[in-house]
Amino acid sequence: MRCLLIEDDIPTSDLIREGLADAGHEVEACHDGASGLSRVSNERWDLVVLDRMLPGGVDGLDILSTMRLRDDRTPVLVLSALSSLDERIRGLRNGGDDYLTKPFALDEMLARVEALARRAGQRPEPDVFSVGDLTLEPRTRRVFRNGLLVSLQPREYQLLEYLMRHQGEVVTRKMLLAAVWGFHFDPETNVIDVQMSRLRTKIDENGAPPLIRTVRGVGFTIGAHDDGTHVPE
Amino acid sequence: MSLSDFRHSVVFRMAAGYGVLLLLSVVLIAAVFYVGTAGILRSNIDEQLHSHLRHLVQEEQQHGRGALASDIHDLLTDNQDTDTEIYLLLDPHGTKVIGNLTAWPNAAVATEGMHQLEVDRLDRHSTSRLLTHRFADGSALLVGRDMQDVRTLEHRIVVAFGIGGLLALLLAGGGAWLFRSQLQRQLKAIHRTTTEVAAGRLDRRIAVGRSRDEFAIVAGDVNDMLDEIERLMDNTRQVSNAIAHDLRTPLGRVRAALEQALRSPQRDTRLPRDAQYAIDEIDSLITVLDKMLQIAEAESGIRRGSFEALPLDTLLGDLIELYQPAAELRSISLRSTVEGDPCVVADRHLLAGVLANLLDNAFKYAGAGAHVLMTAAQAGDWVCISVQDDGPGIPEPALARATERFFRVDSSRHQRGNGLGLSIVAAVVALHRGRLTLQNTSPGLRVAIELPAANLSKP
Repeated sequence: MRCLLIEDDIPTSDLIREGLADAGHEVEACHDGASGLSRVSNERWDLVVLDRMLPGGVDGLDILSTMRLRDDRTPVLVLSALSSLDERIRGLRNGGDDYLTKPFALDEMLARVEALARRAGQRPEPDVFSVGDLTLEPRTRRVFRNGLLVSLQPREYQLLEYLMRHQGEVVTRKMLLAAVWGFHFDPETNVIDVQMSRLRTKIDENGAPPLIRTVRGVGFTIGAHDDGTHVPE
Repeated sequence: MSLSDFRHSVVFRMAAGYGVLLLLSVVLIAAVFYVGTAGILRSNIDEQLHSHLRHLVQEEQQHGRGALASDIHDLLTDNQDTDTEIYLLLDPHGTKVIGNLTAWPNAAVATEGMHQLEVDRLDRHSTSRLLTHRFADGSALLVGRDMQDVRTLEHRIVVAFGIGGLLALLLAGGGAWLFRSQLQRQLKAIHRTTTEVAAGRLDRRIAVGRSRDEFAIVAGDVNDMLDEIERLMDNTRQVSNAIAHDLRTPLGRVRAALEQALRSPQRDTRLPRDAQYAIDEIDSLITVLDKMLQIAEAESGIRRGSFEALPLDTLLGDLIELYQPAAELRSISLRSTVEGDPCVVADRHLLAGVLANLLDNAFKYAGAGAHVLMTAAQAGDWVCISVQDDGPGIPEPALARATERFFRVDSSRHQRGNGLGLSIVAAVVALHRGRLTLQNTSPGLRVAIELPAANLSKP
């Protein structure tokens, strides 16, 4: 994927560039709003990672609005040190596809980049999601492991469906709490971990190889292999 | 520093405006009065002259010139109105037949109708109104009235009005001055205080007497505003100090760990471990910063826009469902009871976050085997939500300080935590205009949040 990184802070910029390059993407970086705007306008990109606050008169949100005004639909991940809900909403309203608050874990940023790229691909929703020998049918809300029906509580089903829709990506506890319970807060008790371990016991019954993996400091991911790579369908 | 230039003073403009208005009304009243007195006097005189003339002309037509002359003679000698009445009868040659004028203006005799002219009478020069009638043979009859007395009266009225107007002007001016100095005295008190506050003396307040006038209300409002500003400033100062302490300490630890790892002879084995330690410490610092921001956001009140009517039975149900597995894992009995259908107007995420925080605290401090009960019930106009555990509670002296930022009970310092949880709870409850009470129930702690009940019948 060809990514443009617009970020004025050099250490952050280097970190993101290395991370994206390690994940196999081609990265170009620029460090101020004006050059960012010209590169965004004059070249084709698969993804733009954009800092919200930039020096030099052209702000991150200006670049974003300009892109959307020109009907440029390139996915944009907005990075910002402004974390309040209002700022988040402003970023998304201006046409950002996702919003990540600084400081962030590199893994989470990569997961979001992958998710954006996939969403931009606009694949039609499959009838069945499957990871290894685990399959999930959204229409009937039924889950099978190795061909056998797994009986899940409604929330457990929702957790699994969310994970499988984002298979190969790292899903944070906050994302799960928001998607499954509709709560936007950060519980101190390990409620999500406990819920997740219940789900694990149910889908990994009878010594089946574990599919849900915990990513330290970030969240969870589902995948057939230990390295968490995307499973071909 | 003066309040404002005299011309730009709103007080001056108001006073001047009222002065002009007063003067205009005096002039209007004077005009009406003048027309009502002097004007009517003149028109009465004119009518009288016309009726006299008509009477005399009739006399002449019925009884001849001689009768007319004798009538005039009678009128002149009857000792009535001798000061003012004027009669003159001239023959066709312009010679006086009878009358009390010594000299007469030709203009008055030449044409018929009403004239106002200077005439000589009784050795006196005077202004008079004269009405002339010409007979067919060329002789003329002149009936008139000396206007000297009317003019004197009119003159007196005008002088009286002049004096009255002058007095009104003086009164208006004096009133304006009084009005201005009164207003300015009150405004100056406010101005002086606000200037002092602007110069940094936040403890200054406007003196509000016992009066309940508009100025007292404005002064009271300004004082309330200053109280709030001072409270926020104090808060900020206190928080800055707390941040300085509670953020520097972990930063110092991270720095020390990394420095030691670099200097250590086994730096290659130590570095990855200490780097991970640094990341964990920094993550918890980020959590602290996020929580500080949450408090700031709640205190700023900007989230009030997202309030909605929130039925508590579903919210509590969702929370219990979320926490139940974690409770079971710790052998904690977690239950909730909801009486009736309590409903509040609140931000769902904030309120859920607050209740989750209270559950986190109960789990953390009451520990394994505890009983945690969450309740919601409406009592009058208030809805009370409480979380009760049967753990050790909070030492009584520390209870009042539990919601202060970064405050931690000494015995809990070994536990993970940042001393911000209850501060967020307090800030969110305040945002919802509710009341927060912490109470030791020995055993255990009961945290109660009272929020205004949502009136569903009138949204």
